Formats: sequence, C-alpha cells, structure tokens
Amino acid sequence: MKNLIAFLKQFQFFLLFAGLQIVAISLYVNNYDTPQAKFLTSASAVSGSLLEKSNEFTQFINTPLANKELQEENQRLRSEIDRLKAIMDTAHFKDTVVGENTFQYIPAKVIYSTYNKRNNFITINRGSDDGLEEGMGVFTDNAIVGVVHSVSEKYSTVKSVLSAKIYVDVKVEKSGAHGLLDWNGVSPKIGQINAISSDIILKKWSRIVTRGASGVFPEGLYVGKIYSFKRDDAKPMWNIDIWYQEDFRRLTNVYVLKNNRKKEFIKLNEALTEEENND
Amino acid sequence: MISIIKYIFGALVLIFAQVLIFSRIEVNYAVYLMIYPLFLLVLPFRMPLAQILLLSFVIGLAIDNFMNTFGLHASSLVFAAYLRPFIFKIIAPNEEYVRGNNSEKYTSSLRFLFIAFLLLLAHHTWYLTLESFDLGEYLFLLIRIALSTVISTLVTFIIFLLFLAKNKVEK
Repeated sequence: MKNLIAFLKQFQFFLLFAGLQIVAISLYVNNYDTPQAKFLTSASAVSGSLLEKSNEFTQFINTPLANKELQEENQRLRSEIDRLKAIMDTAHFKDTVVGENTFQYIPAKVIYSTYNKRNNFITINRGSDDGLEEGMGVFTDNAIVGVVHSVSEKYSTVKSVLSAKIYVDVKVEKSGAHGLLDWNGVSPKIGQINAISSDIILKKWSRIVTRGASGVFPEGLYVGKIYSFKRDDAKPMWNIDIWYQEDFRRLTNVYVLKNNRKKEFIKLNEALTEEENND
Repeated sequence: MISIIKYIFGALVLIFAQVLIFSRIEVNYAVYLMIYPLFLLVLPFRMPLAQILLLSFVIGLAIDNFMNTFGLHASSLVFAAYLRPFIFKIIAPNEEYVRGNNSEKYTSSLRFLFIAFLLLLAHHTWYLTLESFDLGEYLFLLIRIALSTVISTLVTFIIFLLFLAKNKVEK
C-alpha cells in the first residue's frame, strides 16, 4: 500500500496529464460527428453574441462586395419571377391548391468562419428560434456551403464542406454519376469526390450538383466543377478533385434550407431499411 | 492577489486576441497562427505543475468553445504545459529560477525566443497531428507544422518584445 501511494505520488503529474488528455480527446472524438455538449460550440449564447459583436466591427470590409452579390441575385430572381408570372397567366391551374413548398429558405448572416483548419465551421446568427435544426443544408447564391452541426436558441454552427467526411451526396450534372463529397484539408478551393466508379467517362470542368438523395439539399444545387481526376490505385474508382465556386474566405450571406417533408422522408427511409432487414 | 487578477486579465486578453484577431489572419493555407501558448511562458516559473495543467485545460476549452474544435486546443495546451518544466530544464539545467514575476526570468530576449520556439513546436505538432488524424497527408502536415510553428514563434516574440519585455526595462 505504501508503495502504491509512493508510486502514485511519483507519477501524479503524469496521471493528471493523462486524465486531462483523455477528457479532452474524448470530447473531440465524441462531438465531431454529432454534437453532444452544446456549451462547447460557438453557437452557445456567450461566444455567439461575442462573435456577432466583433463581426459588426469587421463586416464593413466585406459589405460592398456582399451588396453587389445580393443585387445580382435580386436581379436574377426578379427576371425569374417575371418569367414564372408569364407562365402562370397562360396556364389554367391558377385556382388549384398549390401544395406546401418542400424546401423553405431561411436567410442568415455569417458571423464567424474559418477556412484554414482541417475541419472548418461557420457560425451563423440564426438558431432554433428561427426554426433551425441539426442536419439542415446551408448554401449561398453560388454554391452549397455545408450542413448545420449544432443549434442554440439564437445561433448555430455549420460544418462547412471544408471538413473531413462531410459526405454530401453529389452527382455529375450531365451523366448522373454520383458520389460523396470529402475534403483533404489542403486547399480551400479544392474538394474531393469519393465513390464514382472508374468506368464512367468524366470530362474536365463538368458541373457537379447535389443529388438530393438524403433530403438535406434539393436536387441540382451547384457544388463546383471537376478540376482533375485520376484512377485510384487500390479500387476501381476515380479520385476526383473539384473546384469550389464559393470563396469560403469571405462568406457573408447564406441561406439555410428547411425541408418541410424531412419527417416523411425519414419515415420512408426507415421503412425501406426495415424491409431490407426483413428479407 | 493583484498578480492573480493580472494573470486572469492576461489570459482573457490572450484568448480574445487569439479568437478575434490571430485566428482570422490569413498568411497561407498551410499556416495556422496560434499565440495563446504564450500564457505558459508568462506564468511564474515555480508555479505547481498541477495548477498549470488545470489552468491550461480551462483556457484551451475556452478557445475550443469559439473555434468549434471540441477539446483539441485544450489537449494541445495541456500537452505543452506538461512539457514546460522539461523545456525550462533543457535551456538552463543548473540555474535556479527565481520566484515571482515573470518578466525578470528571461535573462535575454534570445533565450525567450528559444524557449518559445520549443514550446510552440511541441504544441503545434500535437495540435496539427491530432487535427488531421490521417498520416496519408504527412507531407502537407509536416509543412504545416513547420510553417505554423515558425510564424507563431515570430509573432509571439514580437508580442513579448512589445508588451512583456518592456516591464524588465522599467524595473
């Protein structure tokens, strides 16, 4: 017993060190995929409001460009409305009940974002009060940005596509070949796509869009362009690099996608997997 | 008592400086500027290691809270804190460090630079390796560690010269 106490005393600092390391690393491992400790993210009330305050000081740098982009988007949407109005006038389904939209757009402002780390997160100024939930898709006028990771009342964090294992399902627009989005952590302009079989013919600069299979994003949202591709040495797959349209270094305005039919979608999927299990 | 308040204030300033300023500076994709381990260099030499470990853990978690890293900063700061006494020993094996305020203990700025470099090297290596967690990217990882450490050390040294070394002259 005496020896044990002496032993513990001799290694007390190492034991404390090891204990703290275990706590810290297990926090990291447990929270990266699914957030559990809410106080640990920048969506928490204290850090969220502080980041928002600091953003008020720095945002004027980005304002002219952000304004220009919003104006262009407005312009485009306006012409789209005119076009649709013209169609509506000629068509005869004016009085029929138009169902509830599947996707609802919630505009949000980026108050903090990183792009030079291995896994990058974006903090936005909308939270559960505005109807946000974990797992919703986030995009800008240019391209998709990421998926909501954790939500507090007023703020949320978004895991951006500049993260390992983000796994958004995407496809090549023309051929429909689909794969999963990933990021190797090197350049914030270049992402990767996994799991496209190497017998499919690809072309440089073909457009990559979302596939819309998981209910997070609708089909056809722009992601990027194929930048380069070569065969995997081990598997019959392509290793594809894609060029992101969005410049993640200066994100200002984003939209969060609320899928009104997500519950239905999940139910269907569950039924499917159950059936598969029964077979 | 006054010195405790001073250290708490200093820690807060470092955390906010790291989160609001240094994490936003874009040097290069490979560089991640981290200056908050400077805190370990400013604490008194003779402070008990257990206290330093716990303090590092708390400060690391505070930074994790802003940066969405869930314990990575805490882990690497605790690692650096654990190595702190060893690094001090390497630099001056036979020297008795004096108790008390910290600004007097670095007999020269060059010595501070060297200690800061070793401490930041340990910290950055731990942090960036854990963060990437994929040895397939080892070449890029090595470049990242080297560049980040050098630049963080330089910035830390500049901060030291601007704010901390001045006290020495006054005394």
